Amino acid sequence: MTYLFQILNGLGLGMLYFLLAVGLSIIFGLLQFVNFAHGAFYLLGAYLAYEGVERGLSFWVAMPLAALVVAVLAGLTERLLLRRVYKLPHTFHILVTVGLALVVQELVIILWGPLGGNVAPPEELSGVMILGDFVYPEYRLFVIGFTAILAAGLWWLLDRTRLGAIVRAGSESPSNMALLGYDTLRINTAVFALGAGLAGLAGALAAPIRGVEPFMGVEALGIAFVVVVIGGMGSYAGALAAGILVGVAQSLMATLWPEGARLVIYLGMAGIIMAMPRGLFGRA
Amino acid sequence: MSEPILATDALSVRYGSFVALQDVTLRIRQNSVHSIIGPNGAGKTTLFHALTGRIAPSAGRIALAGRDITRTADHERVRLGLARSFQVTSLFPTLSVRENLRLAAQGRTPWQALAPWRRAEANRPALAMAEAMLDRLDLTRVALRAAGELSHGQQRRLEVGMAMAAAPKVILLDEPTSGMGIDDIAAMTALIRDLGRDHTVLFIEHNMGIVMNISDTVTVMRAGRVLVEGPPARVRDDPEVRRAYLGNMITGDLVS
Amino acid sequence: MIPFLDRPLVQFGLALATVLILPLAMRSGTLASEILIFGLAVAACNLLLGYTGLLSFGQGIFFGLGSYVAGLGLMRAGLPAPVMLLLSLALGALVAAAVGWVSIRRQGVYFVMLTLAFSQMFYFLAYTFSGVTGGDNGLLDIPRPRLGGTVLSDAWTYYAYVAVLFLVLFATLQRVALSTFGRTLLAIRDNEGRAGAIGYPVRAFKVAAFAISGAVTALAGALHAMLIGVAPLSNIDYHTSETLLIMTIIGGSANLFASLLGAGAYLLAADALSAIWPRWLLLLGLLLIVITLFLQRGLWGLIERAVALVTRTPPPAESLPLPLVGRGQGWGWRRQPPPVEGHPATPTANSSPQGGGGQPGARPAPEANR
Repeated sequence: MTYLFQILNGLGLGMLYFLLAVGLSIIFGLLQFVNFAHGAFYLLGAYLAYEGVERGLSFWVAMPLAALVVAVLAGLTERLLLRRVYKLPHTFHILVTVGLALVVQELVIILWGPLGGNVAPPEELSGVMILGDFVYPEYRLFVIGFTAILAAGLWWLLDRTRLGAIVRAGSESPSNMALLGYDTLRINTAVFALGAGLAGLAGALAAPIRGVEPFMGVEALGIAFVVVVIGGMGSYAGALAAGILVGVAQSLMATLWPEGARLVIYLGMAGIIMAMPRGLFGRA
Repeated sequence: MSEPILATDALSVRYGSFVALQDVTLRIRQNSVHSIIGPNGAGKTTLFHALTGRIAPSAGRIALAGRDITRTADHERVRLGLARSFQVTSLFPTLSVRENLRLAAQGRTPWQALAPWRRAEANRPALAMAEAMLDRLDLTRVALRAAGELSHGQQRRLEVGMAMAAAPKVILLDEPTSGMGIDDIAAMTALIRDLGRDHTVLFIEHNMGIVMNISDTVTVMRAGRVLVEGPPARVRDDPEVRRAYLGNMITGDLVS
Repeated sequence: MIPFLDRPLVQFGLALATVLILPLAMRSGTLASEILIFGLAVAACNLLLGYTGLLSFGQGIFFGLGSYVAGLGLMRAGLPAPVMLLLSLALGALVAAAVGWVSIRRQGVYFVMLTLAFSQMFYFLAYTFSGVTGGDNGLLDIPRPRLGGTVLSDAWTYYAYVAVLFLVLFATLQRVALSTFGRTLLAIRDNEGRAGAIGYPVRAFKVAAFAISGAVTALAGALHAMLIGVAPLSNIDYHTSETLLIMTIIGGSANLFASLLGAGAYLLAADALSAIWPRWLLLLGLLLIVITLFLQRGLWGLIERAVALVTRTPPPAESLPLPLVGRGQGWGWRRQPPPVEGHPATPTANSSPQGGGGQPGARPAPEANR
């Protein structure tokens, strides 16, 4: 029973990791841009949801609103700042986004203090579900279900719509897009906002589970990189599989060998890169 | 006839069912200029890749100065005396022209270069070679400029010079005149002709004028095979060659 | 670039001048020592980033390793400090060679990710095996070295100890950078494929660069542990790697004195700002953005421009290819393979003039054969 509990926990965690990582992955795929500020968008999403609930908004309003605000802020950042940096070597992509992440993190501390806080799950889902002698929090079940629907919607968006086709064509060959006459700049902004918004949403969804604190962004960034690398850069299926894999592994390790949980994950990541350089689902 | 400096026997390269190179047998004589021509997709560059060790042949063997190098690693072949230039210019763009040539000359003793205490200036032969090359390539005036700042023609000459600087037994040149203007082509032609006096040159070229003018031997390839081989005059008049080239890359030189 | 400023003697002179000026200009001997110690680690980072084009997030591993060697060597094993320092050099080289050997098998972004994974892995190793490393608390009460029977407990005496080692290693790194080895590293940074094609065993060079960089970084870590008396877990943290990279870029790449400059500027700014405002990292973040936008050659580039202005020589062109990891070179990820790499899977594509970029002049020019 503990294992079932942990596997369910891991599944929920893994779906959040997926949301986080898939944004990073499509941004890298389309823009060839290594975004070290991705964790900061997650952090911001969590804090905005926290602020919304504190101000008396329903979680059902605060959560999507937080994601939306993050997406808009990220879109603005892309237009005003990041766009000027794309043509520079990757070293500077890393430098500028590390700077951005620091700015966001410190702003969060200035605005909300260094201690963090808790977000109550919405009232409808604050109970537990009981199945025989198996007890599980309803909110966590909701997260699994909700992210699964989101994942399906995202798949539809990337695989079946015009925007998706453009994004995929752009990832294959950036010059294609311009040749086809698309407004590359606008698409770049949209994709960046979408990726960041997903990170913000992951943060907002995670807030009732793990609470909020200023350094959750750094931690999330590390995990997102692990997931993207295991899954394969630019791969949707890879991000999903790897997200769940990492989530479940982390959750199981938490009962088996708590101190070594992280160690095992990073060891696993190094091992997978060695064996499969492009990740589980990466294209050659 | 003396032993060929570079020889291949029934060299083949296959990718699955696709045959890129089929039973290519070549004899390259020492101190000769040997050109390889053929329509697009004839397997010329594949042949180069197999000779330099970039790709492993599916069958056949390669010998350099009588020594079997079929399974020798690419950088080891450089040490044994096989150097190449690239169709797409490939230099060290932020380093000076002189440094580019010095590095190429130093590439003869690559493991010695691994010594972090050995001053670059201590390798006198490499320095002397770089100077000699600057002179021969007519690049002395721009010796201190970054290679990335040179004109296209100068870059192409430096590209060939990088292969020469390794003092190889055989130099492979992949379309040395690629992208050049007329003046630059004349300079390059003179350079290759001059090279043939003390080097063995094997080169791929699309410019028939150069090929017919300066080659001792011409090999015509088509669809991965050797079609015809011989002195320029004979190749020019070969009916098979004329047929192979008709409509494909016929030029005034071939017809007249 | 201004050739005069890049001369080895000028560079060493600037480093020596810095070492001599710091005691006059600064109050805290601890901070001054820290500048030299980080200057060393940053110069070592520069060997990888600036000279070889390898952006490694693994430098913290070696720095932390050196700290632990100091803690364990001096306290548990009771080794004399010089022996311990030699040991940190050797172990740093060994571990860095191993990390490098595995990481360089992947290129571009995957290389960066691998070094990041290793960095996290070693951090959690140190965290998990707290019996050896002291875990969160670190190894405490690390003694200062003794010289002629006296312990160098005074900050400025220890500074002198660090300064001597700094100058020796700075000169050594200069020698490395100017050697056949160092100059070949620049070639590998510029065009890895061609470096291989003219005969260099590129992987051996990269592993050697890692080993040298790791050795110096570990020694710096050991000096740091003796300076603050602790080998903290944070020394092996991802943040240490990040900070070392930031210092390297702030200073300027492929120039060893620039590294000392980067370390010094960062530490002095951090010291001054953190005293005024606990949220000074916000300013650091803004600074990184400003550097990316306006100061890509780092502080050293600024100095070059200033000197050019004073001596009325033409200023260094900003359009010159930046000597950092660039697109299509170290990062050949899907966008454009470096010319030499190509795709053996489609061999015939290359043998056509179109395949070679379709240069217009590749066609026969009738005039050329007369």
